[in-house]
Amino acid sequence: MAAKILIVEDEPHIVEAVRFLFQREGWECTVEADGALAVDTVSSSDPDLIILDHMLPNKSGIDIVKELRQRESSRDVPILMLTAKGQARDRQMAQLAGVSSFMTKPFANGELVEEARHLLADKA
Amino acid sequence: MALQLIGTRVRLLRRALKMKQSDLAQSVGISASYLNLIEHNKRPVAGKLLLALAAELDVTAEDLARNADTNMLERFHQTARRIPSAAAELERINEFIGRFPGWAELLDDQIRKTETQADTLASLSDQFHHDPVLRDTLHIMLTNITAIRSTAEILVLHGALEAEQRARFDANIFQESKRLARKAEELLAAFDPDVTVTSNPAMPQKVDGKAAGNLGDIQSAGMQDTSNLAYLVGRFVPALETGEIPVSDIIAETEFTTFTDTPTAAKHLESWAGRYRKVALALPLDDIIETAERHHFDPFTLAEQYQQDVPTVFFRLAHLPTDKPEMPQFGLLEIDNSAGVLLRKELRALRLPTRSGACPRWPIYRALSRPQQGIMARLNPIDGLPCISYSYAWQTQHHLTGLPPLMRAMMLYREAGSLADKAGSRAQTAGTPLEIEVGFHCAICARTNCGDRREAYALTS
Repeated sequence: MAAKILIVEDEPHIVEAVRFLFQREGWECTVEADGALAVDTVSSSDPDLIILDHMLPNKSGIDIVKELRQRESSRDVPILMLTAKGQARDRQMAQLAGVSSFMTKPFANGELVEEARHLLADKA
Repeated sequence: MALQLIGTRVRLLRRALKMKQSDLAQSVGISASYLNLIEHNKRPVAGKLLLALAAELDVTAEDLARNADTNMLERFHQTARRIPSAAAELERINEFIGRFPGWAELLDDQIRKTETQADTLASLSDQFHHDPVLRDTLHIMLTNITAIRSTAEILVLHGALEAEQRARFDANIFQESKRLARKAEELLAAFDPDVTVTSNPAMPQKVDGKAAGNLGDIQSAGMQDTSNLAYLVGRFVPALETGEIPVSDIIAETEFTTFTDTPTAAKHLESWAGRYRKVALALPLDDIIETAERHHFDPFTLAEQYQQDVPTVFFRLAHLPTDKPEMPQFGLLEIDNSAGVLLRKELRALRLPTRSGACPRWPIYRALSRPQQGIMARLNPIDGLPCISYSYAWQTQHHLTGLPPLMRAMMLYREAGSLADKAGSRAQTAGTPLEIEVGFHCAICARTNCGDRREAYALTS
């Protein structure tokens, strides 16, 4: 069965590129651009992996992670955070909140796909 | 004037009054040896002693003390504390300043500059982290760059895309690039109040992915250091075609003054227009079009037919009307022997460098080692369309005895596949044109197994 990936990102051109890359891998993609709706979308789409932007409208990526980690249903879903904030303390904050992996923008497509593949394999 | 401490000043004043050290010491009630220490800035001077010395030396106490730069001393002390490993001899700092006032001033100047730079850096860093405008601007720029990079990488590495998908990715890159340019301008303006964010009305705007205006398929054109003038090279200017109106009058028109916002730009405009007029008179438009069509727009044959030098013909063919679909559109690149770009008219089929060297495989660079010999070659760019190119190099300077001459080279090119391809060229040997696989620049060239690569491909993960 194809892996289900939720892309939480508000920049449509990044979404389009990431979705293209993931679909080529045979993965199913769902997209959510609004931070405030992200947690609900996770509940409804039950993803195998979440690609999460740090700075989102209405709710930050960190707050979303915290909320997801408090819920039984999403406690163990791997989360790969993509962010333009690449300082050590941002990385530390993301790790403390509970992200599984962290990549700074701009990223290399190959690295993103490889990391997603790695996280999906870990989950399986 | 070099800095003087009190002791040094005492010594200078005493000598100016032709007073012995022992006499001055006696008159102020100290020993000669103690005064000697004072004069070498090894003992402090203050209070009654300062007043007594000032009186004997016929100056006020303020004058005597005025050059004692306590700020300098404090800076030296602070610096020494910051770098304890240097083990600066603080107990001899007064002696140092007194004996080497010039060096002390120099050192103090460097300390002050370093402190100023550190303050500036701290301020900028603070701005980056706490100024919401800057922080957001940088975030948006990084987002733009991410979208551009990821999409461009897909276009390069996943060649077999459907046309609709490719067009959408192309449009995405274009939109993100425009946003990025705009944000970069805003960022610059945030640091430099003299910079204003403007869009240049002289630049041709893209409409449905194609350059608008009367520039035909010209994507951009350029002259080094003259960004505004860039869009003139390759432009067909009817008024320059005949000798009726002086060149100076033509370039004084508003249409051209838009491009002369700096003295350098004005100079380049004058140079370009003068060259255009000279070439147009040597190769009149009606005649050159007819002859060029007869010879399939082969510049080497035309140069021979007209008994003109090859660069003149190249320049002429790059400045033809753009409203005749039956005529090929030519791009043009002129460089000096350091590969610096002098003239640039770019076609969509093959990108050109804006300032310096591109792919070393390009024939224009090879022409520099074969001056006065034309090279015709079919170029297969990795990120463009096949082109027919004509390259030629020539000497420009002979007067420096003992040195090899300076060179220039030009490359005229057009998209392959036009009617002009039906015939060969005199420079084409044995009936088969040279065929060269080329890139634009190593950093953005995904061509593998290229023995001429001098830099890694930037998108290699």
